[in-house]
Parts: sequence; structure tokens; C-alpha cells
Amino acid sequence: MKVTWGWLGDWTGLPESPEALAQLLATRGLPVESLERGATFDPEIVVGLLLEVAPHPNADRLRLCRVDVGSGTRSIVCGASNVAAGQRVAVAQIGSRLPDGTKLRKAKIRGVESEGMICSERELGLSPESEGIWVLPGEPAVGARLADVMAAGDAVLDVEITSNRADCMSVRGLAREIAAARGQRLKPPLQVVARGKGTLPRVSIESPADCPRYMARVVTGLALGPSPDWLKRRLEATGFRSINNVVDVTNYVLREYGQPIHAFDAVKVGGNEIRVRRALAGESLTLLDGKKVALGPLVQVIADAAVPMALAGIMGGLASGVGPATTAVILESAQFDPKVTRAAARSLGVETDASVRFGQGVDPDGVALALDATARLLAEVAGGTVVEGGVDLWPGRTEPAAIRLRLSRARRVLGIDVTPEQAARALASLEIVARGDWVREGDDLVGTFVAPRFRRDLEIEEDLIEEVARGVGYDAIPAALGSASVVTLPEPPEIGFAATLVDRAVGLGFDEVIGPALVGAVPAEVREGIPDEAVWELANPKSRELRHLRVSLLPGLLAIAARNIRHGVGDVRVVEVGKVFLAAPPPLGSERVEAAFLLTGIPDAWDGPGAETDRYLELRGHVEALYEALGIDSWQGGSYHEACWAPGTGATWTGSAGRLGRMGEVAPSLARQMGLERPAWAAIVDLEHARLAAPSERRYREVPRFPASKRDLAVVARPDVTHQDLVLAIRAAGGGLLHSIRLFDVYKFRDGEHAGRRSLAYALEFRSTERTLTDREVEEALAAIVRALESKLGVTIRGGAEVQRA
Amino acid sequence: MEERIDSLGAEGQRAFQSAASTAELEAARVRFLGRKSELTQLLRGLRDLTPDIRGQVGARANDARERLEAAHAEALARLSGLVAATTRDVTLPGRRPPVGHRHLLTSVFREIETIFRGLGFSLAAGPDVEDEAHNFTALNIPEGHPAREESDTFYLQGGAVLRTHTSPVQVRTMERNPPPIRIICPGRCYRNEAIDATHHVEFHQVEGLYVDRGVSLADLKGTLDHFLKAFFGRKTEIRFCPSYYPFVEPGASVDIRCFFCGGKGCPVCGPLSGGWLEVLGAGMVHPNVFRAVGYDPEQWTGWAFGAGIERLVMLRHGVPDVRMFLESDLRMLRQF
Repeated sequence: MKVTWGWLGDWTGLPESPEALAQLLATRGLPVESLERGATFDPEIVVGLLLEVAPHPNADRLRLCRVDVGSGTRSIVCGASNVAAGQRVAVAQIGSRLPDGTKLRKAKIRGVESEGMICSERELGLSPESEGIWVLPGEPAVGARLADVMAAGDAVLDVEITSNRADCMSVRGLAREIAAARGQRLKPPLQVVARGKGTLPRVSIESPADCPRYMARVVTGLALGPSPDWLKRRLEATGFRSINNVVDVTNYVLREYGQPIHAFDAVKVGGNEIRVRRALAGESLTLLDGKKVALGPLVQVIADAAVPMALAGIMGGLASGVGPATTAVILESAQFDPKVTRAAARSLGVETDASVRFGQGVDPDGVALALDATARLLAEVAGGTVVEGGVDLWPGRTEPAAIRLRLSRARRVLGIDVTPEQAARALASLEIVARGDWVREGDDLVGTFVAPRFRRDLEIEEDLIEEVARGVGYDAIPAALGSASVVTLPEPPEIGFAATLVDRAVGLGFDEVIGPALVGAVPAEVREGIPDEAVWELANPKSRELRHLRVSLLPGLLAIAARNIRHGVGDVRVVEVGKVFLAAPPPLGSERVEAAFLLTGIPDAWDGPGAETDRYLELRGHVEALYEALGIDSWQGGSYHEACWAPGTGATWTGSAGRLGRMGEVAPSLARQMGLERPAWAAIVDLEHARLAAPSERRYREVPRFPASKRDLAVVARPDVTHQDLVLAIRAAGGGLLHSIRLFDVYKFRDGEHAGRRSLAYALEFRSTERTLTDREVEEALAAIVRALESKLGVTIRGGAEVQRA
Repeated sequence: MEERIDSLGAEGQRAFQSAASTAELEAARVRFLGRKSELTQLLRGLRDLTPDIRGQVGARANDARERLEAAHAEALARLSGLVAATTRDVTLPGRRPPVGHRHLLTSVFREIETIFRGLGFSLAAGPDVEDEAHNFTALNIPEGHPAREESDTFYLQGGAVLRTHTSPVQVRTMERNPPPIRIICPGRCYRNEAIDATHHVEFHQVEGLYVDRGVSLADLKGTLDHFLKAFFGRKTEIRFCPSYYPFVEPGASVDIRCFFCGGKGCPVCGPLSGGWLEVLGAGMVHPNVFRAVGYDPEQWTGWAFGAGIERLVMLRHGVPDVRMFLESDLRMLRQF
């Protein structure tokens, strides 16, 4: 909320500067977001009227001016070429200080005494450059202080008001908080003089719950016209446009008191009668902005004897509004129910400053103050006469509830001892009144307090405790770190596992990335088997690009890779661990944590991997190394197809708890959709299955004490025989002595008798935990393997049955 | 004498290494290892010394002699062509394996986790897709409260919401466990905001919750003082200012003294703060929150705090734009 320094100053004393005020407000929980400093002019800089401009007797370029400064006439030497009689100008009188600190002294300029200075905007610190003197706009009063007439002289503060402190959403409300912080009281409002003769409207309220208080006054003899400068300036500084004096006054009072005021043209109020009631079905109203709305019993209206004139607390109607011919107004100041007002505003799609205020709830006591202020101001700026007396119906008057405050509770919550005097003083400064004395209850002292009506946020004991804390200052509460009890709650196991996985992946050279969960379109390639209704879609998306919750990490990872490659990153090897979402089952759907790996880009020519490296196998190796690092030591490979992979490249790993992961070369159509024009290889690991397959605790396994016997075995196999087929067959036939099988070469015959077949060479290791194996034992095991391979898989052992001894 | 031995050894080695011909090498050999060389003379003179000094100096001189002989042999081999001069360019860069980096947000979260684990906190987590009961109602944000407006919250089909803070994790934890409670919950949050350098629709929070008998605002202050000192440096000064969050009462915003200017005022902390930077929000758990999870607010008190991880990181590491985190710009991530 924007307020000006001078406006606050109408209501309370202020600290030495707007900056100091900002700091004070921060400690009260009302931080200032921005400050337009404005220049603070010395009070001796005043508005002058140039009466006469004559040449300087001793200098061609200088002028000798006679200036009326209100308190007299001054003779001033001026060097500007734009100076002319009839102008209103800023005159720095002798003894005044310019914003840059220069103090004006009486001086002779080329032999002629100058009794002051006519200022330029630059000299007043208003602009870095200026040509000639500043000719003041409008017709400010001669002799007035410049600070009082020019907006630039008043600092504008934009204060952040938390939603619980609606009472601070006005100049007077904020001033009240400032006064409390400085141990002062608000200045009283100026009194309205109401001596005019006239008739007051008859007012009726249908439902006290909908409209707890309704007040009205009548002002006659108005002359619609522009507002005076001071009023325009304050409105403009705080975000209102000046319209005319009557409208401006109601807006001014809204800013000053936080109370919306409505003015009806008195002659247009049929029967001089005001009925506050629910609208009837079939009624309608053309609003001030020309929009016509259909009404119904959800909407509360202000009607005359016959028809609705205004939407209560929202907006006035066109017909009963103030116009150029208006001379008398009925001013309405009321309290409307927040819920009723909000519901009506929402149902009609009309939100205004007034509906927001009434929607938050207004201070019923402020209703009266604001009405008087409006009447007084109309008399001042629009030449009106305030009619004697007024209407005040307050059928919904409630007394604020009493709140108990136990000092023991304050101590428990704040951690400090608060004396009854401290508590009472802090509360009294905020007009929170003690009802009776403190009462002793056992060891405790208990007070009863009544909050003022404008503090609707104060409801329970803790609310008072916070006010006490604000009163003594949060700084007075010590930082104590003592009462730590150790509380161990079971933790979700996936968090620690995900952290380990990230660490291992980083150790393997992957950069961890984090991408957004909200995405635009979900590519068809990653939603196989996911029906449309299982993809979460926002009911109120921000844009087409932020519309769905991701169902796979892959598209986001591709987009990140593409962006980084565009930024000139060469080698992209990234991992993301994050949630993917499905809308089923209702109501909250399901969330799963995935880890996705992506390899793309151009490896560094020097650091590698070399150009010959098969990046598919590189990624596969990384993921398998990761499984092993996580303690997962067995899985089954398999091929499968999913639309996100290029044909023939999809592969899975299946572990003890289900599918551990899948990988492939990314389908070019998917990569291109995400902006990536290069081949990419990706793997997706299901974190839950990996976690279940990994040992929850690790036990020592004996390291071998006896040497291994190594044999190499090279086979020629038909193209349909996979590595996995061979490994399973070797393992099955190898018996208990076969310790490990490692592939060390693959070769595809292009021609010759084996054309189309592959040669695969394995290093086998045999060992026993109990003894050194004999050659015979090893040869027997190997022979069994060879027999099994030949009979089951139809492979031939390379070079006949030759088996190399490693 | 020992210094002389050392310098003879060094001089000799240099002479052998720099010898450009066998003749030069032979001359150097005579000079440093010959019968009349200084070192040989010196060894001969040992017998005049007292036994304990003799042993010490003798060992040193013999040592020097052995090294000189080795250097001579090496030089001789080089000059007679037995060893080819090395052709390796020792200034070539090494072949570096890729070095992975944890995302900066992950690293910082781990750091925060470590700090709080040291204080006896456990980790808790919950779903990103929440119901209004956990995200709002149980947190004393009743229907009609401005925080529930569509302008702040993303709604999904069927009335689910994307959590706007990690506070529902607190609620879920309290629903499942009786007090005392001492947790931190990290996680992603979503707000329907305009995206700019300091705002994003997706961001990360870490919240803390401590419920026990006799937990007070002073304890909150002590804990956060410890945390912020551990995170921002030992000299960090903190300040509590009143603030408002529906789920705490009293509520506080927590500032640290600006570490860029030491509180004198600078563009980072601005002219209005008096040299303070807001880093997080906190307060004493509102009795209505306790009632919603079935805790008796007369018996238990508790505090909670919530911090935006991105903001903490941006302040501490000078990252200028919050969008960089989810864009995962490797040029930035590889710096950390």
C-alpha cells in the first residue's frame, strides 16, 4: 500500500527520515517495499510570483527580478533566459538550504544585491539537468512552502501489509501503528461543521447480518470541479487518478480511513428513501462503468423506494451517480458483511477497491469517522454545506470478545518472563484494553483484555502473546538452544537411496540436473500405455508450456541437453533423480521417483572417450557399474520395445524386485521434439525396484585365499544367440567351480564360412574357496561347458575344440 | 663440513647431467670422484675426527659419493648412446575422466540436512500432489482465505492441488506420530506466479518442525541462529521481525545482517532494510494446527520454519537468476 510521508505526518509524529520509518516499520512486521524519496525542501523555499523582470544594470546576460513571496517582495538576480513576469517559481530565500546542502546568503551579483534565488529543477535536486528556471505548473498559492505544494516534496512509501492486518490498509491505520511503536497517540481528526438545513433520507436495513451498520449524511450546494493540487497530488502519489472534487474526496477518504464511501446524487434517490436489501430475481442495474448486470437474491443492493441504485459495497449505479449537474449528495458510509460482499462480487464478476475492502471487513467505528471526514472535505474543496445531523443505523453492533492472557502461557510460548506491567503496557499501546486487574490463579497471573474493533485479527491468547512480543520487541527474546530432546522418527528409505544413487552417478562422471515437473505437451513417445486421463492436467494452467505434470523424466532431460548444447557445452552426460506423476488412482494419483541418465553431445577430442567408443555400451556400462556400486549384483537383460527408443535398441534390466531399468538410443523423433538434433542414449532406473534389489545391509564376503585358474573360450554363434544366452548356458554348465565369466571380444564375420555369425570370446575364472584347483578339475568343467554350448546353442568352438590357457 | 658435502654432491650431479661429451664427463668425474677430488680427500680426513662425528659425517659423505657415482653412470650411458634421450613432451595435458557435479540445490540441501541432523532432526517427505485439507485447512487456512486463491495455487482435476509449501508434510507427520516431533522436510513447491529473476512457479523449500513440551520462541531463535551461522558463517547476526503466516502465532520473518556490506547498506540489502536480508519465515505453531492433527495445544508447544532453498543459495553463492536452477545450465552447475 502506498502512503506519503506528509500524509502520515497529518496523523502522527514521525522518525527523522523516511528511511528510519522504513526500518521502524520492518521491526513491527510491516516492511517497506519501496521508497520514492522525493526531495524534502527547506521550508524557506517558497512559491514566488514574478512581478517584473528588468535587465541587470551591469551585465547583459543577467536579469533583475521583482518577486512576490507572500510575505513581501524580493529583488533577485537571475541568469536564466526563460524567466518572465507572471510565472510562478520556486524561490530559495536567504537562510534556506538547497537539497545539495548549499546555504543561501545575501550576496551582491555584479554590484546588485540579490535577496534569494529563483531555482531550477536541477538546483532543487529534482532532475539531473535543467534548462533555465523551473516554472511551476498550475497556480500554487504564492508564499506557500514548496514542500507543501509539490508532490516531489513528499516521499512515497510502499508498505507491505500482511493479510491479517487489514486495519493498517489505510493512512490513519498505518499511522496508528507507527504511533504505537513510538509510544504516541494518533492526532484527533478535524471536526465537521454541520449547520446546513435539509432533509435526511429515510434508511432501512433488511438484514442486520448483511449490513451491520449504515450511516448517511447529506451535503448540499456542491460545485463539481477539479480538485485542489494538494488533493490531486496525494491521490496520484498513492495510485489514484484525479477525476473531480467529489469523486476525489471519496477516494481520498478510502485511502485515509480504509472505508469506502459512496455518494448518491440526492435528487436521484427516489422518495428520498434508502433500502438496504437483497435484490429480487429479475431486477437489474446499470453500473457506473456502463455494464448492465442481472441481479438476484445472492446480491445485496442499495435501493431507493422503487429500484436498486447500487451494488452494496461493490459499485454504484449509473443512474443515481454523481454527474456534472449534481449539487447535493447523500453520502453512504457502511459496514457490509464480508462473505456476502465477496460472494456477490464473484458471482457478478465485478471486483473493485470497495469490494476488496468490504471483503476483508471494515472497522465499524471507522464508518462514522470516515463519513464525517468526507462531509468536511466536500465542504472544503467543493464548496458544499453539510446538512445538520445524519443517519446512523447500527443494528448489527457487536461487542468485541474478551480474551484471556495467562502470563505462564506467554512464558511458555516466548521463552522469556514477561511482567504484568510489560504485557499491559504493550497491549495498551495498541488500544487493547484491560478489563479489570490481573487475577491470581494458582501460580499464574491471568488478565482479561478486549481488543479494539478495528483489530479483527485478535481472537485468541496467542494473538495477544504476539502483540506482547511485538511490544517488548522480538530482539528482547534470547536465542536459546537448550531443550533438545532426541526424537528419531522412521525416515522414508527412498530419500537416502536416491542420495546414494546421485553420489554414485556423480562419481561415474555424470552431472546432476534438476528439471521442471510442469511441462507442456507430453510426447506420445513417453506415454505408451498411459491413458489421457491418467496424465495430470492443471485446472488453471499458467500457460500451454506449464500445463501437465511429467510422466517421464526423459523429455525434460533431452530439453536440458539440447539447451546446454546450444550454449556450447560439448559433452553432455547428465542424471536426474525426480518424481514422475500419474493421475490414477484418485484423488491424489501416484508419484514415483525415477533416475534418468542421458549421454549425448560430442566428447572432448582429447579427454575422450575416443571416437571409436560405442556410446550405447558406454552408457550401459555406466548404469551397470552403478548397479554394482549400489550392491545390486544380479539382473537379467532383455530386449523390448517402447516408442521412446530407436527400433532395436531398447533393453531392460530385471532384478529381484522387478524391472530395474531400461535403456536405448533415444528415438530421433522424440529428441527432435525436445530440440535435440543429435543422437542420444538414455537409461531410466526405477528407484523403488533398485532399492528393493539392493541389500539393505552389507555383510562381509570372504576374499579368495586360493588362486584362480583362468581359461579363455571363443565361440562362433548364430546371430540369434545373444551374449546373455551364452552366459546363462556357461553358468549353468560350469558348476560350482566357475567363478566369473567376462566377455573380452566380439567380432562379426563378414564373409567366409561363418559369414553373418559372431565370434564371442570369454575369459573364465575357476576357483574354490577351499583349495587350489587341479588342471583336471578345470578341464573337466570346461569340457562340460563346451558340450553344453554345442548341444544347446549350436555354437562352434573357435579353431575346433581348442581352448586357450590364459 | 656436512654442508660442504651436500654442496659437492649437488655440484657434481649438475656437472654430470650437463656434460655434453664423454671428455667433459671424464673431466667432471676426476674433479668430483677422482682420487684427488675434494670428496675423496674429505673421506680420507675422517679418521682425524672423534668417533661420533666421524660416523655421522662419514655416512653423509658415503651417501653423497654413491649418488654421484649413480649420476655418473647415468650420464655415461646417455652420452654413449645406451639410453635414447626422452621424446615425451611432459607438458602435454593429461587425459581427464569426466568429473560429475551434484546439482547446487542438492549440495545445499545436503548441507542443511547435515546441520539439522546434528541437532537431532530426522528427515520427512510427502507428496507433491496434495489435497486441500493438508495444504490449507489443517494449516489454519480456511476456505475463502486469500492464500487459497487460484492466483496463487495450481489446481488439478478433482480438486487436488500442487502443494504451495512443504507444510503439509508437517501435518502428515503429526497425523502419523505422537509428539515429540523433530523433523525437517525438504521438497518442491508450486505457486501460480509470474516467473522472473526471483520468482518461479516451481521452487524448493526446507521446513523444520519441533514439537515438545516447553518449546518456545527463544528455542526457535536459538536453533535458527545456529543454523544460519553454520550456513552463512560464524559471524552471521540474525534478527526476528514480526510477520504473519496463518499457521503460526506469533509469526516472524528472520533476517541476517547483510554480509555484502556488513549492514552499512548496499544494493543487495537495499536502503530500507537497515542492512538486513530476509532469509526465512518462522513462528510458533498455531493452536488450530495442533487441534487439526489431534494434539492438545495446552500440553504441547512447537515451532516451525520454512526457507526457500533457492533464495539461500542465491544469496550465499551470488547466483543472479532463480531460473538457472531448473534450466540446469551446466556452465553454472559445473562451477560448484
